[in-house]
Amino acid sequence: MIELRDVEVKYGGSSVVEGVSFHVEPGAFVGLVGANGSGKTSLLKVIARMLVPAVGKVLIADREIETYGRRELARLIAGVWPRTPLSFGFTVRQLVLLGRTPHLAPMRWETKVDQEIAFEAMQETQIAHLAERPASQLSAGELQRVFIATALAQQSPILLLDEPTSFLDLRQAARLSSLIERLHRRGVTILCATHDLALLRRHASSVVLLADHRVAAAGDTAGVLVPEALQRAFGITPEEWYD
Amino acid sequence: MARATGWRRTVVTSLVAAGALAVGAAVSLIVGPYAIEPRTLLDTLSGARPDTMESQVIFTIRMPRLVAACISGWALAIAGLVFQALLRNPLASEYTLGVSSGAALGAVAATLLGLGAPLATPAFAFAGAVATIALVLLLARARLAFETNAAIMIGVIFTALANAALSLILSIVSPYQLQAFFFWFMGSFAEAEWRTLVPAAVAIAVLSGIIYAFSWNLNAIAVDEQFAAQIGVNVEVVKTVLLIAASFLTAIVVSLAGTVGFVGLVVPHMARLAIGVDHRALIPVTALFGAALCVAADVLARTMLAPNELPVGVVTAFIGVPVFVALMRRPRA
Repeated sequence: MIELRDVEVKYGGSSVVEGVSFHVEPGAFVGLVGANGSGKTSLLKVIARMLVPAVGKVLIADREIETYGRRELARLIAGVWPRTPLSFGFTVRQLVLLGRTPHLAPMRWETKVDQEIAFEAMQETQIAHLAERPASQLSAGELQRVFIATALAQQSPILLLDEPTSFLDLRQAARLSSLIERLHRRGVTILCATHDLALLRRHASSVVLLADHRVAAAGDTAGVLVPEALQRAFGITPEEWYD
Repeated sequence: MARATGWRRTVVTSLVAAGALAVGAAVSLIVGPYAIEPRTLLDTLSGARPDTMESQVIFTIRMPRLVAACISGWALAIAGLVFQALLRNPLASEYTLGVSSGAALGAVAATLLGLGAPLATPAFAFAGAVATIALVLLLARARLAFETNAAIMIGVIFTALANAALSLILSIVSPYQLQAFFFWFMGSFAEAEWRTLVPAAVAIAVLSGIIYAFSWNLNAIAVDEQFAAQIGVNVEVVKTVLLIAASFLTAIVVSLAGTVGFVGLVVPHMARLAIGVDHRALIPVTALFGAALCVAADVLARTMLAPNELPVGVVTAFIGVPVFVALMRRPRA
């Protein structure tokens, strides 16, 4: 479903990641783990075509990513990203309906079907009761579910998640974790960059671990998330880890 | 269903704004040193009194002035809305970003260079406006992250600098030129003429149409640029087109009427408060609000200290600032 071949991403001449290759099967839940600045977000952006790699290839559904139109790609890949705070009083319903954008013909308003799809996405994420509330008044956890609902309304088979549980308290993180699990069981392909190793241990089928600008380990979750590999990626000893 | 309620609200708000605009327009044609009875106005407009003093006053003095106020308010309000949405900042407007001052400097430069041709003033004003917004955004971007607050700060500082430059020019030009330059400083619709109004109105209509076509994308960008890119919006192209269109709208108004502040800052807030944040409905409603506000401001500018006339920018500032303060004290609009 997603394939990276020897990808290098540069910012201002210096490499953030280089020689990265991995493959995400359809329906898989893959975790992307690494220290801050290890290039997790950059790789997600490359897959969403928000960044162009300096070297290497990205294939989505066996086609090179540059061959897709923007709207066509948005019908294949949805994402939930860290955001700037909302400046205006968009309601939850308005935000979720925006997920229908890649399915609308230019200058066409949403149809009844689009409204229904958005409503289902809000039900799935348990925010239907908040539909008319300004999103700026919601808690971090509720807002995260709103943007997942937007991604669901996009009806894309691939979902990219960038730190979905950061800034959430335990209860909100647990609710989000079970929501992600439900989506995975429905067949959505998920690539999730996170420091939340508990989330990955519970749900991810495999993990890609980044260290020193490269893939340090990749494969089965339990096999990758071992103390030695984490020590290499994060630079702390298992003792410090468990302290 | 929320959408139906939203539509009703938009239609009712538009009708109220259009009604206010119509009343303002009627008053603007009636009042003045040469008072015209409402009955006479209707007769004159219907063509029943050609070649009279009244028809001269209405068609060659007051009507052009009314049309100038109307299209200027329309254009400034849309430009302000676009700047606010693109920068996701309710403090953004052509005025606070320095675009109006940049356009005024451009127009003054054209006058100083003796380029009186009808196209030179708007062309120089447009160059000034685009150069300003490009400079402000480049300086803001130089902080690596695209900081919208930095853009506003730089815009305000640039406005101060441009105003100082205009003041400098005012202090060295001849008394004969003083009046003309003062016009760029505080705005006035008194100089409006049909020969410049018609092309300006056509250009404003075309630009409004282009901006409306992008209103779907503007909703997404007003949420977050990354979010917009994620749902398939070509953010860089949309931003570039809209920044140029909004700068052009500002330049046209500055060429027609000088710097009229606070319209682009305040009116989008009023419209959002009335109908919410969907730019597909906001653009026409904001435009109507802006037209009504400028027409009302021009009537006040002409009548408050009659027979003296105030610059319209003074009136929009006196209306705009208290309204803005009141709006900012409310929950987020």
